[in-house]
Amino acid sequence: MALSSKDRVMLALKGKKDEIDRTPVTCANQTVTVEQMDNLGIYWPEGHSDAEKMAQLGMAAYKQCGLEVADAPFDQAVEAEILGCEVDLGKKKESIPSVPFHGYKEPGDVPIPEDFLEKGRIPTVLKAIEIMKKDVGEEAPVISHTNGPFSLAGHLGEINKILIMILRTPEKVKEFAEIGIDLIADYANAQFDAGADVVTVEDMLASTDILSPQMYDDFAAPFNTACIKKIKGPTILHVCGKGDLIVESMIGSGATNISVDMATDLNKAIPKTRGRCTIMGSVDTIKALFQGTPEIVREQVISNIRQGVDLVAPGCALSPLTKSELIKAMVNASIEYFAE
Amino acid sequence: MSREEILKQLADAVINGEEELCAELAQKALNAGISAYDAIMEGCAEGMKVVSDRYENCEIFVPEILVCSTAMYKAMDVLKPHLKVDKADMPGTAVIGVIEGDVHDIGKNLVRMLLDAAGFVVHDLGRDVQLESFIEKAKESEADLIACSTLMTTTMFGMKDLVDMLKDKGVREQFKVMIGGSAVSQEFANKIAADGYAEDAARGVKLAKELIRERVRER
Ligand SMILES: [Zn+2]
Repeated sequence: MALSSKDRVMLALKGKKDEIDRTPVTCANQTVTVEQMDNLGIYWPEGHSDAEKMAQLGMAAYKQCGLEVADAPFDQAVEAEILGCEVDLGKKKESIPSVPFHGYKEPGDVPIPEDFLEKGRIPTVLKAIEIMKKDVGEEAPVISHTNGPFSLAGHLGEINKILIMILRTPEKVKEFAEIGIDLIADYANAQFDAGADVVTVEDMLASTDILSPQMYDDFAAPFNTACIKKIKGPTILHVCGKGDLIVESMIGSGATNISVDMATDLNKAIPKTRGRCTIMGSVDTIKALFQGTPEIVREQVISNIRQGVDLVAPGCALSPLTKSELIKAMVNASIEYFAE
Repeated sequence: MSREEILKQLADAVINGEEELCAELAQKALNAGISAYDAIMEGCAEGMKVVSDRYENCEIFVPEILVCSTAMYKAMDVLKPHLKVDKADMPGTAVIGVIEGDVHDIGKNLVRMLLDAAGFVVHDLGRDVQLESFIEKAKESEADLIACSTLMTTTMFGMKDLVDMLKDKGVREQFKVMIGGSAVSQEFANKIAADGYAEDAARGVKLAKELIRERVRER
C-alpha cells in the first residue's frame, strides 16, 4: 500500500529511511501564495486572524500542489502580539504581518498575561490546526510554527536595539530571550494538543546574516535547547542564513530535524547530522522557486536528494508570489527521481 | 596633542565603539581648531572605513558595526552644528529608506551609517516608506541619490513602481536610484532600470560614490 504524505514525512523526520518509498517534499515554514488564495477566494489579511480561513489557506499548498504539509500560522508576530507589541497585519493580500514595535527598554517591562493561550491570535491558530487536522490529518502532516526565543526577543526589544545590547549589556539580551522559553514551549504544546504533528521553531532573527556563530551560541542556541526540551512532540528547528556555520549548535538543540536555509553548504552540514537528527532543505526560495523555472527547481531538488537531505523543503518561507507551477515542480522532481 | 593624534584617536574611538570618548575627542578636535568637516572626514570616516572593511571580511558582524556607528554618531552630534554646509564639499545628498510594506531595516541602517561616515548628507526616511515620500524628499532636498532596500519578494516591485513614478513625473534624470536587499539582484536592477544594485552595505557605499561621480560627469 502506498504511503500517505503524513506517514512519509513523519518517518523521514525520524530518520527511518528504509521504511519510505521516496524523499518527501515538505516545508518547515509558511507555504501560502497569492495563486492559492485566488483559487480559494480566501485572502490575507483575513487569513491571519480568522481560523477557518487560516485553515483553508494552510492546506492549500497540499491540496493544490501536493506539497506534503498543512501549516499555520503564516507570520512571526503571534507571540509578540500577545506580549503587547504593536503588530501590523498588512493591507494587501500578499502582506505578511510585521512587528513595527519600537521595543521594550527592559525585560521586566514585558507584560506576560496569565492566560496567554487565550490571548490575541493564539486561539485562532489553535482552532485552525484543529480544522486542518480534521480535514487532511489522515493524509498530510500538520506542521505548526512558533518563534525561537531569540527571535521573540528581537521583537520585544526591537532587533537593532537587541543587537547593540549584545555587546553593551549581554545579560539583558539573555533576560529578553528567557521570556520565550516557557511561553513558546507552552504554545507549542497547545499546538500539539490541537492536533499538530510537528512544531517548527523558527529562529529567523538568529540568522548568520545578523549574528556571528559565537553570538548564535551565546544568545540563541541555549534558549532553543531549553525551549525544545520542554516541547512534548517532534520539532523542526529553522534558522536562516548559512546553516553550516552553526550546524553543531542547531543539532545540539535536540530538535528532531533541522531546516536549513539555501545559503547553507549542505556538503558540510549533512554529514554532521548523521545519527543525531534529520535535516531538510534547501531549495532556493528566490532564485529557484520565485524567479526560476520548473527545470531549475527540479535540478535543485535532485541535487538536494543526492547530497542526502532527509526531506526536501524550501530553504525558508515561500514567497507569497511563488507560482503553483514551481511548487508542483518541486514535488514532482522527487516523485520522478525515485520512479526512475 | 597634535592634529594628527587627535584625528587618529577619534578614528580609533569609532573603531572601538567608545561613545563617550568619541564625543570628547570631537570636542577636542574643535577646540584644537580642526574644522568639523576635517574631523568627520579624517576622524569618523577613517574609523568607519576600517569598521566597514572588517565587516566585509567577516571579521566583525552586525552588532559590532551598530555599536561603532552609535559611537560615530556621538562624535557627529558634536561636530555637525559646526559644519559649514557647503554642498560643493560634500560627496552628495542621499534619500534612503525601506520600501513600503517592509519593516526590515538592519541593512538600510548599515548603508545609512556608512553614507553618513562617507560625508554624504543623508535623509533617512526609515522603514515602510511610501513611494511618494521618497520622491518628495528627494526633490525637496535636491538629492543626488535615492537608495531603497527591501528584504521581501512581496515589496520589491515597489522599487519598479518608484522608478516608473520618477519617469512619469519627468524627474528620472534628476536622481540616481540604487537598490539593495536580499530579494533583489543586479538582474532585477537592470530590469527595472535602476542605476545600480549593491549586495551589501560596504559595497552600497562604494556604489553610491561611483554613481555620484557618474552624475558629475554627466553634467
Ligand atoms: Zn529562513
